[in-house]
Amino acid sequence: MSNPVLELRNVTAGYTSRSLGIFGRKTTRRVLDGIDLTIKQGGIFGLVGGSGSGKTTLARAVLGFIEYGGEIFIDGRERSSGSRRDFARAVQSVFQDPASSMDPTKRVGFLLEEPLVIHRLGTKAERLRRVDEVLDFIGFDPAYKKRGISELSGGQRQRVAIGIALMLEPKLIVADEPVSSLDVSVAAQILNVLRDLRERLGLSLLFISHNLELVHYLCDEVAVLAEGKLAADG
Amino acid sequence: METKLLALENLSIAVGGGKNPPLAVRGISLEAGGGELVGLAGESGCGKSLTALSIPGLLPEGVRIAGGSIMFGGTDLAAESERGLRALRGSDITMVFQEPMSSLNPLMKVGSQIAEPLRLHGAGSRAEIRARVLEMIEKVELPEPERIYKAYPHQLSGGQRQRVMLAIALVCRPRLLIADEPTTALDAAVQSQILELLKRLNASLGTTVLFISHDLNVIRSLCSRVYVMYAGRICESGTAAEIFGSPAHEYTKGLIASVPRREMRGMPLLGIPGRVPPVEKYGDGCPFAPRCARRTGECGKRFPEVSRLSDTHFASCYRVASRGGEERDDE
Repeated sequence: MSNPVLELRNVTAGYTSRSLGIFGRKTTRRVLDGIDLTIKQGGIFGLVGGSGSGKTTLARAVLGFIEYGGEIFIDGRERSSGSRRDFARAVQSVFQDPASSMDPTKRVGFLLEEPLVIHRLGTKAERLRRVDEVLDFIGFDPAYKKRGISELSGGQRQRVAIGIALMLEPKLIVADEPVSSLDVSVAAQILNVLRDLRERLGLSLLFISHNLELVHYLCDEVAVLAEGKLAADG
Repeated sequence: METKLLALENLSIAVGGGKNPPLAVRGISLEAGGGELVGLAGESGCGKSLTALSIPGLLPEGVRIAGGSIMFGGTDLAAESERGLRALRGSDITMVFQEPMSSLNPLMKVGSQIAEPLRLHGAGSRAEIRARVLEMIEKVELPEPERIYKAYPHQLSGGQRQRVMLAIALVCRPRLLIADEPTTALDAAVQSQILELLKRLNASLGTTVLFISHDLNVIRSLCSRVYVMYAGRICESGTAAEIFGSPAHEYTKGLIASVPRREMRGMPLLGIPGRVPPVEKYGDGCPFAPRCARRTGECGKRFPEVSRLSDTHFASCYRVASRGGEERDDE
């Protein structure tokens, strides 16, 4: 049997803050308290919870933005065995506000090609072919390569963000509230693209949202995060 | 015929200057009876918020009412002076917006912010005002009224702040509360608490509520009657049961099909292709025609008349009109 795409074993994480003053007391708040979670290849795992329940902290641990306790395996390899860059080809992310994670002065084609350039993959011609492939997948005409990010609507930007995440052909995408700031009709288009990721590319998804109906619609498995613990739902 | 508390008649709102400024709201009519919970639904950029702001005379600079009337309890607010409107705002007509933090003063204690409308509209002595504020804090179901009274907004959670906003809006016992996406910024659990609270307040105080949202689930759970707005026009209106049970307009159907529900698992969302056109490109025909899968030749030429489907259910669509206004789905 192949490795699960993502496996969390007894993961803990928290934040330390220091009260005012030079000799201020350090206090640690534990946000994740022994999380176990497995996502198989092609699985869509939904994570729900109220504000402040630790959903985003979990995403940040998986993406390697913060330190954590316990073990996180991505495609069979322990997260802390390599740098963020080493794992970039296995796991990518899409966030709520696509505009804040893109350089507003750059064009769509440049932004899509950038991950390949950074990872020194392919020749120029191969990279451009991959850009066209991904553009087609996210439902854009090749002419959109020349468009600036500021010319696009919120939904189009979110599709570009998904496109950027796809460039390195990851096994897993962590999507943190990817449709929360979009209108219902636009959100529907994005959700269809996310469903396609699994159907056509066999990708796995860790989908984080506060919308229960939405999560139950999209995901195979749903868990609720509350007080640092995970509880299965439905 | 019974008189409605609020009746917008053929209301148009123009955006920008010049001789023929584009109309962002084009001749809409909308009614709300006393104590009713009425919903106004539609995507962003359809003119919902401008409609809401026009009622208490709060349209931003450069935007003005270009025609029609806003009848509120017998007076036409569209023709009312600024002074007259000011007397109504905060006492008879109040509003609650999406982001409570941007409407609350961070330097003022919550108690005095709730008291402000009472003071401005000259209601009683200090002791009386204090008593009414504490009563209102209890009414919006905030814990420990005395502590909340002395708290600053930053000491409260998002849901608590929105409760404070509701207290400010309702402390003068207005006849009309306009709620513009009041729960959009809150997470799911808090959102449903605020909606339940709004329902209870509507029942106990008898305040008419005009509830504006792009979230159909919210409108469905809250409102008894619904107007669906697209590109500055009302395309369909009816009771919540009619709108969600047997939607007639293709736009309403598309909106409903866009909302993911767990029963629809495994199926693609139908959604609506394309997006809302900018104000200058609204055109003369049915504004939804370019995105509509069932458009015909006449759709692009002239805006369809209103067809009556029942005493309460109306839609502006040639498809509906050609079926003689009868409720039937021929697919």
